[in-house]
Amino acid sequence: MSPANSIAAARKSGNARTSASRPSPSRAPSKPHLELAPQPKRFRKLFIAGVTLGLLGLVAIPFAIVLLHAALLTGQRDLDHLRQDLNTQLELRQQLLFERSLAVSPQRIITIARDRLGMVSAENIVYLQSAAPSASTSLATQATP
Amino acid sequence: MEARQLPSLSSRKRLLAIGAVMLLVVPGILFFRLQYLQFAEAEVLVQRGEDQRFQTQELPARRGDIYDSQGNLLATSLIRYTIWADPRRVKNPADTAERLAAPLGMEASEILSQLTTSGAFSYIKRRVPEPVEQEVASLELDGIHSYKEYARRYPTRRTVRGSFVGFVGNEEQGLGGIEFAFDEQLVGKPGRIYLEGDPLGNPIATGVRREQPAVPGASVHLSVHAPFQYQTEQILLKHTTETNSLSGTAIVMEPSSGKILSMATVDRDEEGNHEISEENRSVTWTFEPGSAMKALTFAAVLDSGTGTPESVKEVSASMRIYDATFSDHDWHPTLYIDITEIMRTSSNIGTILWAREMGNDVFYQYLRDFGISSELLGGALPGESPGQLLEVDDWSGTSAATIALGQGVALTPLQMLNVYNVIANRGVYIPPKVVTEVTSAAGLDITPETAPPRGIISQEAAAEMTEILSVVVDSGTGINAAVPYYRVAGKTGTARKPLPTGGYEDADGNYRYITTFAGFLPAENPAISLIVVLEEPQNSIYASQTSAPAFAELAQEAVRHFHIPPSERPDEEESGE
Repeated sequence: MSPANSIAAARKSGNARTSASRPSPSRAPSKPHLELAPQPKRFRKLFIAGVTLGLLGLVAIPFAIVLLHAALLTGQRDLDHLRQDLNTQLELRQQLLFERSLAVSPQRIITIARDRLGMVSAENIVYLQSAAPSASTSLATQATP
Repeated sequence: MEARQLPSLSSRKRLLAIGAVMLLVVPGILFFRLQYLQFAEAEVLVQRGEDQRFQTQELPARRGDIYDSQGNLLATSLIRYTIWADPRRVKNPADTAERLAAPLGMEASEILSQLTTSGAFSYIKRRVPEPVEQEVASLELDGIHSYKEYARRYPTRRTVRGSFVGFVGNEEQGLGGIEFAFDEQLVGKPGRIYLEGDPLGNPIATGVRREQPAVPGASVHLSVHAPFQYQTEQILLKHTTETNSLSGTAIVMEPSSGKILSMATVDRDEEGNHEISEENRSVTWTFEPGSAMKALTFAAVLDSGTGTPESVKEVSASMRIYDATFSDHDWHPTLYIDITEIMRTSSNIGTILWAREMGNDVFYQYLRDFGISSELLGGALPGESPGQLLEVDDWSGTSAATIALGQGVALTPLQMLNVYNVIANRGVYIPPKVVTEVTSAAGLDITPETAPPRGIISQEAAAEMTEILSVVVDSGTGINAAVPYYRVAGKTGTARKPLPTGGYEDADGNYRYITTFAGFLPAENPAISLIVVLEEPQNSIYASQTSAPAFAELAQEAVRHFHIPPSERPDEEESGE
C-alpha cells in the first residue's frame, strides 16, 4: 500500500483514528483537552425555526382540521336547507297544480255560470257558416292545379 | 397499656397468599370476561350499541300523478299531517280532547275515546292540512304528536275517478282503475336516512349520516280528455233520463290511434233517479248487441268473398231454422235485395241467409279476429270482461243465425265499438288504449308495450262496409244519428235482453230491450268513433228513437270539441253543389 492510500484509508476509518488518539489506560491521567465546539449559527437558526414550525404545526393542524370539519358541516347544513326548500317548493307547486285543476274543472265552471251568473244551456247548437268566397279567391282557387 | 399484638408469621403468610390470589384471580376474571365480551358477544354488543346510537328514518315515496291527454291533473299526492297520541303521556285526556275538537273538526267524545285507549299509539285524525297541524302544534299538548305523510287527492269529479282513475286504500295502495292496474309503476320506492344520534335521539352534527333518497312513482298519462269526459257524461245523463233507461253507456274513441277519449256510464237508482255511475260498464258489462252486430257479419261476408254489396238474395219476411222461427221486423213480400239494402233496412232474414252461406267456421274465425271474447285493453282497466262466445264446435243449428243478428253472443260496449273501429281503419285492428304514456321519475318512458296493429279485413271490404253504413245513416234505420255537415257511418241495434233466469220473455209475455247505435265520422276520413247503449229505454224499444239521437248529439259535441272539419261545406250543401 502506498503512503497516499494508507492516509486515505485512515481518514475513512474514524474509529481507527479515534482509537489511536485515545490515551492508554496505563498512562497517568491527564486533563482531557476538550472544549465545546461552537455550532454553526446557520444550523442553530434552522433548528429553532424547525422547532417553532413544528410547534405551530401541532397547533395549526388540529385547528385546520376543526375548521375544515366546521366548513363541511356548514356546507352540509346549507345543502340540507336547500333540499328542504326544494322539497317545500315542489310540494307547493303540486298543491298549486291541484288547485288549478280544481279551478278549471268543467263542473265548477258550469256551476258558477249557471248558479252565480244565471247562464243557461243553449237549446240548439248554432253552426256559423263560412262567408262566401270572394271573386279573387275563387279565381285563385280555380287557377290552382 | 397492653402492646398491640402483631399478627403471627403464619397469619401474614396467609394474608400474603390471599392477596396474591386476589391479585391473580380478579384480573384473571376481568381478563376472561373481556375476552368473552370481545370475541364471543362482540357482534351482539356492537349491534346493540349501534341500535342505541344510530337511527333509521324512512322517507315515504311520493305516489306518481295521473294526467289526462291535455296534461290536466287527475290524481296527485299532497303532503298532509296525521295527528296521533301517546295515551300514556296525555296528562288530562278530557281537557286535551276538548282543546283538539275545534281545530280538528271532531267531537270531543270521539277524541277522548282515542286518548283513553291502552298502548302507546292512537290515531286522532289522519291527513289534515298543514294549517290544522300548526294549530294543533301551537296548543303544545302533552302526548299529542304529528307526522307527515302523503294523501291522494283527485281534483276531477268522482265520475272520471270511477271510470278511469280508480282509487287507493288507507295506505295509498291502488284498489281500483288505473290506480290498481298501474300500482307497481305509481307506487315509487321509499328512501331512508341512517344517522347517528345522542341518547335523546337528536342527530349528532359530526356523526355518521347516510341518506338514500326516496324515488317518486311514475306518472301515468291517459288518453281520456277530462273536459270532454264531462260533456259525454252530461249528454248520456240527459238521454238516459229522457228515455228513462235502466242504464246508459257511451264511449268515444279515436279509431286511428285506438285512444279512448271518454267513457261514461249512467244508472237509474231504485227511486228512479238517474246519476252518473262510478262503475265503468263500458268494459265490465256485456250485452247482446242486436243488429249493430250486422256490421261484423257483413264485413266478414264481403272480406271472405261470399258476397259483394250488390249481391242479391231472395229475402222473405220470415224463415224457420230447426225449431226456431226468425222474421224481419215488418212483414214484407219476398224481395230480391242486395246486401246494401239488407243493411239499410236491417233485414234479419237477409243477414241470416248470408251468414249461413259464409259457413260457421269462417264466421267464427272472423268473430275471434274482431276481438270477440278477448280482453282488448290487456289489463289496463281492471274487471274487463272478455265477453261470451261459444266455441264453434258447441254451436247449435241456429247459432250462426242468432249470432249474425247479435243475439246469443255477449260483448262489452268497447268490443262492439272496436268492430266499427276496424272498418273505420280500413280493415286494420288497432288495440284500444286508455294509457298513452308512463314516465318514470327519472324521465324514462316505461310505457307497457301494446299489441301491434293487425289486418282483419281487406281495405276494399272495409271501404264497401263504410259505404253501406253511410247509407244506413243517410236513408236507413240510422237516420236519427245524422250529424249536420258530417257524413256518418253507423248502425242501429235493438236486441232483446236476456232474463237472469234464462230466455227473453218474462212471465207476462213481455220482452225487455237494449238499444245501441255505433258508428264513426266523417265516413270518408274517420276521426272519431262512438257507441251509445241504452238498457231498457221506456219511451221506445227502437235504437233509431233512443240511442241514435244520443249518438248524434254526442257526435256533434265531439266534432266541435276536437275541431274535426266537416265532410262538406254548409253553403255547398245548401246550394246543391
